[in-house]
Amino acid sequence: MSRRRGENGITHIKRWPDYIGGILTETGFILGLTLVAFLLAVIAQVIYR
Amino acid sequence: MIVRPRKEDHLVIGKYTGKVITGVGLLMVVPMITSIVLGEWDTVVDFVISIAACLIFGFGTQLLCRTEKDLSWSHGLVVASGSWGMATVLGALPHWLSGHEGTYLDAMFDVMSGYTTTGLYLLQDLDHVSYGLNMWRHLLTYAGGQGIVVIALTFLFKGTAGAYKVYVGEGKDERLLPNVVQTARAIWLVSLAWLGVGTLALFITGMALGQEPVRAFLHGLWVFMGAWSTGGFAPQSYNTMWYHSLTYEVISVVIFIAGSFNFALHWAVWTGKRKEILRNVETVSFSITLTLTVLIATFGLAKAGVYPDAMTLFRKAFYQLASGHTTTGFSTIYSRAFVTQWGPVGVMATTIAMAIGASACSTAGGIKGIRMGVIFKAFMQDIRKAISPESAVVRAKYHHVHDVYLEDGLVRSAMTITIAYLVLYALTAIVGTLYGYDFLQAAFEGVSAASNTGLSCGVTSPGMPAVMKVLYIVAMWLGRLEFMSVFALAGYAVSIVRGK
Amino acid sequence: MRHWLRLVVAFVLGGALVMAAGCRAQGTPEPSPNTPSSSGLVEEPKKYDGSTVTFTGEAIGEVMVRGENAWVHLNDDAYYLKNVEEGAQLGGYNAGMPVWLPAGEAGKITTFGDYKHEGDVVTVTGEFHAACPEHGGDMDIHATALEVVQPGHRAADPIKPGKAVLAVALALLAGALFAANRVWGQRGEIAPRVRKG
Repeated sequence: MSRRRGENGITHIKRWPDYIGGILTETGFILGLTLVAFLLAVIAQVIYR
Repeated sequence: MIVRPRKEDHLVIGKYTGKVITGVGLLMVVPMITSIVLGEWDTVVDFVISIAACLIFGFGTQLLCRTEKDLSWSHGLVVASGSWGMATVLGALPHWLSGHEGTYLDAMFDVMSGYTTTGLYLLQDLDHVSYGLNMWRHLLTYAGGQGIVVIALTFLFKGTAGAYKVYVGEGKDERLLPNVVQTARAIWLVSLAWLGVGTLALFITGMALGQEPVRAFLHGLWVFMGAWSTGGFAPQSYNTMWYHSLTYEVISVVIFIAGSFNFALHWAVWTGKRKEILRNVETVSFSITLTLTVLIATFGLAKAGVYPDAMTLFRKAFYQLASGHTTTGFSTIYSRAFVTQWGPVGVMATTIAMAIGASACSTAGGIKGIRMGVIFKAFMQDIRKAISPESAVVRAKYHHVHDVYLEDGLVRSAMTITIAYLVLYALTAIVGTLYGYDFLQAAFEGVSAASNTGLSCGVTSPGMPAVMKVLYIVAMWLGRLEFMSVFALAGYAVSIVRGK
Repeated sequence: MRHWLRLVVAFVLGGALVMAAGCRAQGTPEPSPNTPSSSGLVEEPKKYDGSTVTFTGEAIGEVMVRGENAWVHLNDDAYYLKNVEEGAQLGGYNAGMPVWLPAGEAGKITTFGDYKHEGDVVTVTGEFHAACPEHGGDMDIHATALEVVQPGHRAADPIKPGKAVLAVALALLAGALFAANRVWGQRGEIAPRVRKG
């Protein structure tokens, strides 16, 4: 598989900043959804208490 | 007219099924090594037996089925579903030999549940199983999430055109890169990069929570595998309630939601198209339906006063709903608590979330976001047509990496599969009800199996009628492979008997 | 006709496996020592919420110390005295309760239940919470004291000789088929090796 590690290979080192950025983008999006759910819980608790 | 398959057809199917099963045998080397390192000798013997059985089948069929013929589309479907069936029969050996399964059927149930990333299990006394067997449980769910065919593609197949047909048969139809083997490698890259990051995060958190390093690492790895594959297996019977930690919960939520994303979405976001995550039809659809079902559950639970404050309400409602919607099946409440604590509103909201499921071409199950999006857009298009002048041309499109215009064929196939899922959900619910379970609980559990979620409200148990175990196995299999492959296998069996 | 032979073999093997399915001995599993048991608590959380319960069970897995206090998990299932690895009858899933207690008390536990061990059986008394406000809504017991009722022990799981013989025989057969494949099989496709470049 080593022949794929060339300049254009998907595991090449120069691609990793993009990949890590991708992971962080995804994480940020998911934490956004989590925050929405938390706000819903706060509102629900205010209404029913 | 049904055409009876010819000898060449059997040979080509046998040959490629043999290859996939060889792959399953090689996969078992990992848990065997785990057991050797930790000195679990009886478990090592179990794995030697199981590996040998897989290799005997794999090498045997390859020796018997010699052909140069490449796979056709129908072969691809039969190989995919046939391999899953055979991989379940042989993959169940370590479970059965461990002595923790009541029957061989139970062992096959657990393995099918693993491959299909469901997470329901019938294994008894989980808290006393070996690390080796736990490694196998989680590895097979991780492998199943990748697609056992994808694994075989990466390591065992030459890059034939036919390979792509098996890959599609396994329910993945995206080409991230022009070539199917490259696509398989890109999928691996995404999964392994997340494996590294996710396991590390859980490992460090586990240590901070008071776990010994070895246990923290293994738990981190296994919880990652259960989360990423949207599988839902966990090393302890308490599932993720074991950790009693907000941090652990948030990390696992991030992993299982990320795991439920389409690999094409990952690839787009990872190669510079960051905005894709906000525009993609599947993330939009998922965000809307997740928020709606969380809303129903949160307000239902708040009204019933189940939880004392907003924080506890959020932690419980969001975790179970996100877990259900991504078809993961992790849970921080007891199974029976869905019924005895959450009540009908919570059960219903979770059932809807599980039924919808997450993204196509991911590790998740259910009807899936893209179909929800397509059907919704088609519905809106019809309304717009109805209220527009007759001469007007109403076109609709959705965004999935590129803009795609809605065509009747596309809508039709989305509807067909959606209806197939709904029928399967109904069937499992009805059969459960006929066996005397409460309808809502039977529906919850049936949807959980058919959508490959794995949350349980207590219907699934070793004492469950064998017919229901078989039904759930078939439902998991159908749901994961999205029907067509399994029907192709059934058609193949019929054509052997009745074809001309 | 080879494919027919294959089908027959598959059916015979499959049949044998299904036959084996019914053959595990049945006995009476060990009942829970508690009233209410952990299952009882989960079935009626509202009824017991806030009440003081005495709970006995096998300490499972590990202790997780968090500052002054610690989490332990006590199983009161069919395996709390003897587990499956030691030959206990199968008696359903595990069942138990998480217990939050002072770290010093938790330190009295020396053996935790896992593959190689049957854990200490301990008794705690404390307050049951259906949805603990302090712990994210978990169902748990907050205990103040712990008493070891029965110390744990190693659970030896020796290799069964029959299994070892089977393992050797199957491994030899697999090796023979591998060799046969090398000699008579199709070239370049059996070994998991990337041949190009």
